[in-house]
Amino acid sequence: MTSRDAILTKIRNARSNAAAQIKPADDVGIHPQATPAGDLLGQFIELARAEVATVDELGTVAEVPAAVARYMEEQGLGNQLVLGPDPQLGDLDWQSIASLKCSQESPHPDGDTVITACYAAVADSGALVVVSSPDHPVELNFLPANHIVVLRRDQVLEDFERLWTQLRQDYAGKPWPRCINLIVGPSRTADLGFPPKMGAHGPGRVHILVV
Amino acid sequence: MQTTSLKFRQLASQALADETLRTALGDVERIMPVIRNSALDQLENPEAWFDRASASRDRTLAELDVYLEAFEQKVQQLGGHVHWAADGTEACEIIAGICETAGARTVTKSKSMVTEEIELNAFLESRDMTVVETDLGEYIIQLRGERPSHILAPALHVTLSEVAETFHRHHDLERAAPLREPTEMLLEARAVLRDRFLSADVGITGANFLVAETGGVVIVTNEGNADLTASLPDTHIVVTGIEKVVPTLEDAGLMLRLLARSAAGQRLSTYTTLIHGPRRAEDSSGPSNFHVVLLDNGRSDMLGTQLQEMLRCIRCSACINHCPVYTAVGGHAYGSVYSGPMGAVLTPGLAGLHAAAHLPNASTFCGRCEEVCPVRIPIPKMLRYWRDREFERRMTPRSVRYGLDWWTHMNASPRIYRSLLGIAARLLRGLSSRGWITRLPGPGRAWTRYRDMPTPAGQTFQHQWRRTRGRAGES
Amino acid sequence: MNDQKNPGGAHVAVAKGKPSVALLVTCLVDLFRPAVGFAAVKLLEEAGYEVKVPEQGCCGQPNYNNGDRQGARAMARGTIERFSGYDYVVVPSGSCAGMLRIHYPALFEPGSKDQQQAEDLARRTYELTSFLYDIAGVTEVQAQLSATATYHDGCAGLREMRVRDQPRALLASVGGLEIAELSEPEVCCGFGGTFCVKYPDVSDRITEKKIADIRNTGADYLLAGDLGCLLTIGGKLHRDGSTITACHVAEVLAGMAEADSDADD
Ligand code: SF4
Repeated sequence: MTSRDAILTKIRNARSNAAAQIKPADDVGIHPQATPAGDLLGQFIELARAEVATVDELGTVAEVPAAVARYMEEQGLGNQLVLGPDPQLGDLDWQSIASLKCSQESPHPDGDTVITACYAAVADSGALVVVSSPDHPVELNFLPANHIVVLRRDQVLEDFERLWTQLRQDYAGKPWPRCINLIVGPSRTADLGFPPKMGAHGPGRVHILVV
Repeated sequence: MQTTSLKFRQLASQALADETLRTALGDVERIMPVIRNSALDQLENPEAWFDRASASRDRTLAELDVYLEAFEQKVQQLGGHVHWAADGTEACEIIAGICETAGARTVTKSKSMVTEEIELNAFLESRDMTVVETDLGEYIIQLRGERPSHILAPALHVTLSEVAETFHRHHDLERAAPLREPTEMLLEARAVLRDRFLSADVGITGANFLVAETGGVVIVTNEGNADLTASLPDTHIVVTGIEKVVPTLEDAGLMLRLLARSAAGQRLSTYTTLIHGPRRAEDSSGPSNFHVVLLDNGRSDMLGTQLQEMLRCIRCSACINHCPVYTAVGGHAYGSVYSGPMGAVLTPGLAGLHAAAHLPNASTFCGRCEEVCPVRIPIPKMLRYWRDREFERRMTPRSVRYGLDWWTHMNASPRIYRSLLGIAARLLRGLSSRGWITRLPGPGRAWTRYRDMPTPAGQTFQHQWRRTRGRAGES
Repeated sequence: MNDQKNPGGAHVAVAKGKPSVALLVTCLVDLFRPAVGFAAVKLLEEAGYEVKVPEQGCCGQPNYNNGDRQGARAMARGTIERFSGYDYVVVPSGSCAGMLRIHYPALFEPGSKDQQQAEDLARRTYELTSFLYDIAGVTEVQAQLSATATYHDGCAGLREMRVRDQPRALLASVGGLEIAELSEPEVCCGFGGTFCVKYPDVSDRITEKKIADIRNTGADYLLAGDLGCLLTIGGKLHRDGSTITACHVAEVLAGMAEADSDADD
């Protein structure tokens, strides 16, 4: 008998008893729908900021290049920006910003500034949601020193439950995205004392541009 | 699973004498309950969430085979492989086999208690592989050759100056300026581990949850090390226990709401990642090989028994952070990779009661663990279950067994009990000076080693009652 | 006594006169601090109950907590038998009350006669301060104590018997008494029954932290509802040469605290 069969047999043998161990629960409530108050974007921004992300509210997506240049200048991040393969961002008018040097290359291991789009944001936890694809390789979210994320106002969802529902709709009949990443602020560690120190293995800065 | 739990008494005494450990544990005790409470307060009615979460776990455990098979099927459809390991040795063999097929020389790992449980690092090293832990705390203790002292903060016991000293010694920094600030240490570790991430052949991670609905593996970190471990090498191996499966994304969301709050007072950890299989044909990066190793190692034996509820555990460590015994002696005293209240229940289940005999006894039954557990595991009840087994198997020290037996007999008749208490009161008064006893003989010595005992104030209550209120008061 | 089985409440007994309360005094009170028992009797009588003290022994906690279910069952049967027929069973200890209320029913086969009797006892069993406040409706006492006191929540009372606000409410009515709360009133004191002699050094460290918290309040009295906690903390306070007096809540509520502390000197 293989270990697979042995383990499954043991589980099945315990099953009648296993069921007996379960105490009746009035309402399992397995689809909890916490509904936060009206202003989803406001709530998201507040929580993201509380988790040490920075947020800049813009008008249209066309304002992104200038906002990026401004941010990088303010933070002293140099002039190298990695756009990644995403055409949504690549097609913006980066030329007009003379001070920026943009490339499509993967981020340098020593850390760069990367800009990406995202799939959604979750208001009740301050999380950005990014989904991997050929346009958005997962390591773009983790290798750079600074991660700039463009979020559309209409991408903000109330909670996990709405996120799951939307993913199910968008990926119906297709395989699930290889990586779905929920990101709350910059990388940090609690292993060097309290409070946690920012900038562990992932980006030390997360900057969100709301368009 | 190796334990040194039988040396609990001795290890605990050593730990009590360690002043730096005391400071670290003092921080846990002071900070964790505060940040946990405020994070849970963000949820409307956290107790209702606890109810839902424990019901969800119970529902899963009642049909564990169904969800495991569903998960397996989904992973296979996504192009991944699922392996089943009955015990730690089998799991290690499977993992080493995958690594060898991949021609692995360097393996990166993100923190995983299951791999600690099966002692994977030593196994892979014995097969000539270099294993690099990438969680900062885990990396620190790996360099120091130590074991984790907390399931989520493995290097809790290491001070900052010890971290600096460890990096100096192992990073060839002998001539460099000393690392003083935590941020300098962080940058140093980040730089060294960056190279490791990029050069690794295989990445090994644990899993916080497995989602049966989608075949997804949920991994949660604050550092981002699990994501780099999982996405940069060409092979990703997930090693986890069979109980980690949840039916749907809603169940996962439910657990995630409680996990980060209970663990670290966060709404959500910095990185919550759901991974579905290996890289796709159209992807430019990501591992080509994706394996999930499902470990039993004693878990299925708990199903259908009074220990089943322990399998609800989501490893949040709230019970540990709130335990008066843990915060007095720290994790190493438990002599097991799982420490604190959850460890005291799990370790005998995984390593055998004989290897862990002290652990179920090293509790005051204060019940705070059960109170804070987000999946409502009745830990004191389970510690009692183990104490019952110890008594049954005559593992309880003979003096205790005889003592209890004698006590039962003395209580068989209220008259005997009353006169026994009367005698005890007289004897204790004989040892007393000015109302207090500072030294007791026999088993009482353990009491007066640290504290005094008040002298019984006059005759026993029952004696006085019978004398003053006489028959009127008796039934 | 009222022989009528009356698991539901006091109403039947009220019709016949005062409802009856059987006091389970507990081993530690019986031996070390009889005054707590008399304080309990006084409080219960003043609240209008007829107090009885049935023949009794240990509730069986040491056996139960050390894995000796058989011994625990034997003691439970004895207690169940001797305490049957009273309207209420009141215990000046959260942990012994918890034993009767929570653990006795768990000792016997579900559905067995033993278990039904255990359930019946469990329904009638209360910790002293919660009985006074929740059942007897006592909201104030006549006692006086000019001092500052702090209150430690015994673990079993707090978590098994839901005793938290009741003793505080009653203590608030004691004339002259100031309550200074601990920063961590709900953390264990290190007693843990036999734990404190099985792992004395671990226990001592836990008590040490509790005492640091107590000292920070500046209180003259440490109060609690469990003599186990009080012996542990009080014994260490005395060893440390502290002048803080450890005292059972019942003694303060019954106005017997000062008399007792005099007797100690
Ligand atoms: S037993 Fe409960 S509190 Fe302890 S780690 Fe597991 S889930 Fe968390």
